[in-house]
Amino acid sequence: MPTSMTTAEAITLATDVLVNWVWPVEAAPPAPDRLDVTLKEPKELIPMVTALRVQRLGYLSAITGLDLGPEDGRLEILYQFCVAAAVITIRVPIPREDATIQSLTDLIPGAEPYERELSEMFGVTVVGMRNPLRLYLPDDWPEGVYPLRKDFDPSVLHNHHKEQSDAAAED
Amino acid sequence: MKFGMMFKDVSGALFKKPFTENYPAEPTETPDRLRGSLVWDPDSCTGCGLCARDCPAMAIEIEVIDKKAKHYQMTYHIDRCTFCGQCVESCNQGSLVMEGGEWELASLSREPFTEVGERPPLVVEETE
Amino acid sequence: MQPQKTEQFTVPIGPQHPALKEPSSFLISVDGEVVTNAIVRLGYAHRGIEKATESRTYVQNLYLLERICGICSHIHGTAFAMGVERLAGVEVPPRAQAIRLIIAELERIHSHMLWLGVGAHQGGFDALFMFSWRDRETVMDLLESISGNRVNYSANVLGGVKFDLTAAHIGDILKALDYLEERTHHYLKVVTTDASFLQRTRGIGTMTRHQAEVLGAIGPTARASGVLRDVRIEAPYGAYVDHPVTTITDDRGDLEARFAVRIKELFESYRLIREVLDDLPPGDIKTRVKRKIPEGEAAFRVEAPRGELFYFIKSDGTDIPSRVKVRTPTICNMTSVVKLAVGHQLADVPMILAGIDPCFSCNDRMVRVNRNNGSDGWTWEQLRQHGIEYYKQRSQDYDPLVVG
Repeated sequence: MPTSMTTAEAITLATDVLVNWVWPVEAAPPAPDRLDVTLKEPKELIPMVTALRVQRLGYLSAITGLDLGPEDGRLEILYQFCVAAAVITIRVPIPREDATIQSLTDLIPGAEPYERELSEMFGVTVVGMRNPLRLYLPDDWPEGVYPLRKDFDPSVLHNHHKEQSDAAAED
Repeated sequence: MKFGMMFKDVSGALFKKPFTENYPAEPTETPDRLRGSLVWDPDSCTGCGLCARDCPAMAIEIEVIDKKAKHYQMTYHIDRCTFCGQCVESCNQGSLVMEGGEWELASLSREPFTEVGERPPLVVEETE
Repeated sequence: MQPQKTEQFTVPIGPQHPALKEPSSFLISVDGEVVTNAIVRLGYAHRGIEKATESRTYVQNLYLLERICGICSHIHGTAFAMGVERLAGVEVPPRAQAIRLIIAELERIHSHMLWLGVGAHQGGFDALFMFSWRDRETVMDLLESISGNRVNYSANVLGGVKFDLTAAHIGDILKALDYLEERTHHYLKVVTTDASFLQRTRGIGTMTRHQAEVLGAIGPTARASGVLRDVRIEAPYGAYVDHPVTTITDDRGDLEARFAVRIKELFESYRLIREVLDDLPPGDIKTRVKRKIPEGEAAFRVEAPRGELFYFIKSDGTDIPSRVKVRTPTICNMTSVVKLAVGHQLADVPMILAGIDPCFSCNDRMVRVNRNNGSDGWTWEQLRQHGIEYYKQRSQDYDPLVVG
């Protein structure tokens, strides 16, 4: 039973699995009950998550997107797995301009809503999603506008809706 | 398996008074801690503006007209207020009170919902 | 109409109250009466809260986040406050922790009672709905007398709580708990023995333990399928460290189990509140937290009435957070609804949906569109035309159905 694992055991096992991986990864424990593993390349994600699943280590609690800002030019996707009190985070930095990541839904079906949210809020192309439709944003939301990015400008929406209503008035 | 498990409750309720209150025909009792509209005590206010800064709804504006004379003006937008009580918490002087304030605030127009209070300027005595 | 090739028919349910009085849309494909596929569309109560946190201070955010959900407002505030306190390295006084726990458990009682009523209402058992809501008022009155508000209690401040419990409050709580306990025994008996109600719950929407794990179900929904997933036990926080909780699980996984688990959790909440009140630590109820929060990241998990609530807070050293991520319990359980509905009668769908205790305003948080298009609103005819166009786009043709 994975839930009977203690926090310390979970962190030890996760360190064992993820840090001592065949290719090197950066890892840091920001707190005793946390382990942050930063991947060098997005393609390392699937093997890493598979490794966690094989060990039945935790469940996917959240996928958090972080925009490091236009100057930095990167987005960071955080896959947070929880077991007991431990939070194991797989951090995947991806370029802002070409944000593409593999879908986890084949491994974890429950990841679907998180990925749909991630793709519409941060403009991340998630490859292999079964249902790429919008989850939260309205049907008439303008393409290419991603609200949780740091450079999101709400006036875009104002203009977009103005154009729409003008177009509707002409009809 | 049984039938009509709630029958006793339902039939018993026929012979009881309604559980609901007959508001507004009969005034309802409110707890002492109920947060109503904000009451400002101009005498103890120092015009620090912490209440305005912490307000999540931007319902308070404090304007310092004359700092030396301790002349402040406070504008309270009741229609924006969410009655969270953070301003009371933030005030170091205890100049703000929400408990027991007016809570029956429904109105047909927005006008009565902005309260402007003013602390009268102190008369600064000439020392020379 | 032309006879179609397949006998599939799609029934749109929602956005107007699909089960609860909250908006969400489901496209349910049916073959006769049997559901063959379900697609969910959320976002009708989307308010842009996650983005809004990035332009408000931590103090202001506390109240904003509390308003994500009206039912579990305290737990949102607690998760955020505790996350920020962890970032700031502040130790909250034990009395404040205990009061947070008491309010959280009272909130769980009122949330579960509310759900019991909603669940019963979906099953057509309105007597249970009304009486459980009548008894729920007891808790609401308690919360009102403690905090001053029926909902959105605003009990938390960064570094503690706003109000103390007086001896009179403690007496009131204990008295109310005795009454509620008696009523809860009755309701447990009703939902597990009433024949007409069991026909709506027994064996409906069954989720096996394996399914629950794979679909990522959490909270009482997962516990009703035998998955022991409770943050209060897995990662105790605040006063739960000293006052452990016994988890209630059920192996059956159907709607009846979900009713039973939630009602049995009420007894656990009563026990816990009594235990904490019995041994309420003396002392301060708050401590000072600096306005500027040191740089760092904190992930904080709490057990909301509906399951695990996940907060991720990133601070860049100012008094405004750089990112606040909220993952609410309903979104995890939504996948299970879509999966479980398949194979059931269409009439069972609202019950299955209500079974996870969904909270759509919890789900929908992020971006708000302020439509300033300057129009004077729509006439009824325009609105009707828009509705027809809208469903046409979603491959539903209602045109022939429209009368006059």
